Amino acid sequence: MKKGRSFFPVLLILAIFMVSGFYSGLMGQDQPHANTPPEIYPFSNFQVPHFRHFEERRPYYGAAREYNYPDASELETVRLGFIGPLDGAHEYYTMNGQHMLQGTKLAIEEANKKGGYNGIPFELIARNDIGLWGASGDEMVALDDMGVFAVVGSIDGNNSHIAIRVALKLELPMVNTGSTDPTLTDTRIPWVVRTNPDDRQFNYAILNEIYNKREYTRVALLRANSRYARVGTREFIDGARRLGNPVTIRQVYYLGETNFDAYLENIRQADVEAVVLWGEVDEIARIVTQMRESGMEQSVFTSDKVVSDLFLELAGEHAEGVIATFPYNPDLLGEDYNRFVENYRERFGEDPNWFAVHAYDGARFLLESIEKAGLNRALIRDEITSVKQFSGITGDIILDDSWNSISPVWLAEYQDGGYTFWQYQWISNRENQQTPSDQ
Amino acid sequence: MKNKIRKPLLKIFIPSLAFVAMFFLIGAYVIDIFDDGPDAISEPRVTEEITDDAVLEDDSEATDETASHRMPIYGEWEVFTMQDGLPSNKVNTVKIDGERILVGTDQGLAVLENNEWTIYTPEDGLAHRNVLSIDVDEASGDVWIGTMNGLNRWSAGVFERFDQFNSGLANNVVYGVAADQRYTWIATTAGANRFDTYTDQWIIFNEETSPMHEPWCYGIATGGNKAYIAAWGGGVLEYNNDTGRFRVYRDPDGHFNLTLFPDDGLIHDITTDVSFDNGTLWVSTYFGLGRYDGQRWWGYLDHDTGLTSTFINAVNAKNSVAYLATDYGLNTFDGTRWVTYNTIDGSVRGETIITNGDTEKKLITDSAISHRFIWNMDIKDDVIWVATSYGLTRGVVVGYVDEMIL
Repeated sequence: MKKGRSFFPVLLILAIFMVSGFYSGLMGQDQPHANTPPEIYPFSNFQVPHFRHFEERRPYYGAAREYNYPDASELETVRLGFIGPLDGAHEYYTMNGQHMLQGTKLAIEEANKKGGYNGIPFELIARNDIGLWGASGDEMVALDDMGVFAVVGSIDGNNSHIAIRVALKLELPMVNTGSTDPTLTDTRIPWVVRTNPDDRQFNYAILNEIYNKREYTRVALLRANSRYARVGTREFIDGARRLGNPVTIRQVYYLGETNFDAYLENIRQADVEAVVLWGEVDEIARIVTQMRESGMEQSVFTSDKVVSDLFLELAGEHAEGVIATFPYNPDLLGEDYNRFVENYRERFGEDPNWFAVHAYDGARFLLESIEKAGLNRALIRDEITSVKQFSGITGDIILDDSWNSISPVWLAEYQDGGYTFWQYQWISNRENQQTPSDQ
Repeated sequence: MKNKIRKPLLKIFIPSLAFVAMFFLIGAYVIDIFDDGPDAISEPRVTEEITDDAVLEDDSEATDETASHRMPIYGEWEVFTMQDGLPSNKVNTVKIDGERILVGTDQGLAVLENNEWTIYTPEDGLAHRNVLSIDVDEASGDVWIGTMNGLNRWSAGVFERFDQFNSGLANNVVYGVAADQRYTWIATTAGANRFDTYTDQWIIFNEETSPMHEPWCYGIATGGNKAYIAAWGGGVLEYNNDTGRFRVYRDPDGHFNLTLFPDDGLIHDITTDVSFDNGTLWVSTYFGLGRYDGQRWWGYLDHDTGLTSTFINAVNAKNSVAYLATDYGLNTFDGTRWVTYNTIDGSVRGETIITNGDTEKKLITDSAISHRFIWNMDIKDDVIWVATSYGLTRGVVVGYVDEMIL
């Protein structure tokens, strides 16, 4: 009996230790890179890769933590940078750039009302990145020259790439809140975090809707001859093939084209069930209009860009039934979001769009990180790259090991004067599920 | 009554809990094995540690002729920081120019000559304080300096500035420059340039004028009447000066998040630098090292080779040895043997690790490179200069790998 008594406590401690260890191991498991479903992971049907990158977060081994940064007592303001499309010919980008700036401003103004950084107000220095070719590089250097501690921005994939590479050399933390370029965070730059989902995840949502839920087999892709559309549709093309349904017809239109009849005639002859469009808002509006006016009734899937007043204005009644991706569901958001919308309206006299919302979330994340880390760029970097999840007004923002947001992705269908949202969740084995359109 | 109930319960509960725990433990172990995959099961390297630098001295009798074909081991590291006259401890690049050393920092150009430092800043005509790249035209002696805001030609004591407004420079952020007699090649953040120093003609190469998949150029090198451009996200472009044609090298698997096969072609498209030496093209990426001998490619990662880190900032090949600036030490590699130079945390001492297949030999050295994060380096004769995240370091050849029995 005595032997039994001495054995059981030891066994009990051992058991608790093992169970808790196993449990914590489970809880510590990271999300897969970019939330890629196993069925469409590259080469998954044929070959196990020799090596998978982004299985863990890359540490920063440089000396920037030891550099001399200005002491808080020497500063009148704590400077932060912003780069984005603020002025230029392209209405969609400049409109969203302004929203992005306003969202960032609002976050900073609120932080300053609470005392800024230990009583020192934050100062936002905004620069336009769509001027001269590759301007984002110059603007990042200019912001560095002005002594900013971190930067928020940008939208365009090309400019964002240039900016993050300069950030790498300058060792300047950057929070991207608006680019959907999938390759941006796949560059392994340990100074950059993105807080919005990318086109790769939007592609998965469309793939799932088309092939897994609706079980379509014949699909057309029509995209712009631009880097945005090329990079933005790659996962859709690859994923369709991996699911056993290669895209039936793929076409690329030139920028500036306004008559899409020839492309649409090819699609008509291909006898497809759905059409995926990827391009700028005005182009998508024209294509949808010409499709519907010529009697084509196929389902249309496209990017987040069309969830905008500009698209509704340009497409008019033909916006009905168009399904787009979106980074959150505004109908489900709570008091924080509603308060933000009210404050935004009051401050800027208009409703925020998703670029403003994500900029607000990204800027708040950065400001809180500075509060924790202090005025040291590398420590700010350490802080923003150590976070796996934080709460935003759009819900929980989850970061994978490439510091890319893998937060929930939504689909939005324009119906009867409003958008109906439903959350994307990958379906294995092609189980049938109804969408709002089916109901 | 309570005790009577508790005891039988405990007798059942505790062994059950232990059984469940064992089940989870075995389960976790099985999951762990499957998660890691077959690559995780590998034989440990045989490591021999030597703490006496003297073992290397036997190699000092090597003649210059044989030395050029053997793999050197460097040591006797001498560190330079702001205390010694540098304008900043962040050293981006270094170039040996005869008897003087040109050092690019984030606070200006520093020149070491006759044991004295001279600092050049924008006030002297430098295009920007942050100097990223330097090369010397051996024919003219002109120094080409790439900065964060323009390019300089430093000739006869005068800094001539080139930027997007006064020249054909593709972009003001100049990551790489290579002076090759008549032509100076420039890698900028938005395209590459070939500048004809005879005619002052600029040619811009970007995604519209060349088969450049992405225009973000990081490194550039010349050799064999060709130029090689490391285009970040676009692999490597080879330009033939004779034919005016490009050849493109890309990662065959086409994916940033995996390496399907290490030797199927260029290891990754996120290229950072290139170097051409003795018929071999070396390519550094942030996902490993690539080597191409004109017929086939090899790729190297850090989990199964002597490569200390796959995050490689720059590559410079001399005498059939590639020198690699990684974020976790300096590597050299001759196609078979690796040497890693690193610092020992909390100490001025360093370690030199020689790897040949599964065999490792570690040497503890009394001096070390100033920091393990290496930005760039330059090599000439038996001297190496290393630009690091914190300071500049000079090393000399103290022996050769060939004489070390591995």
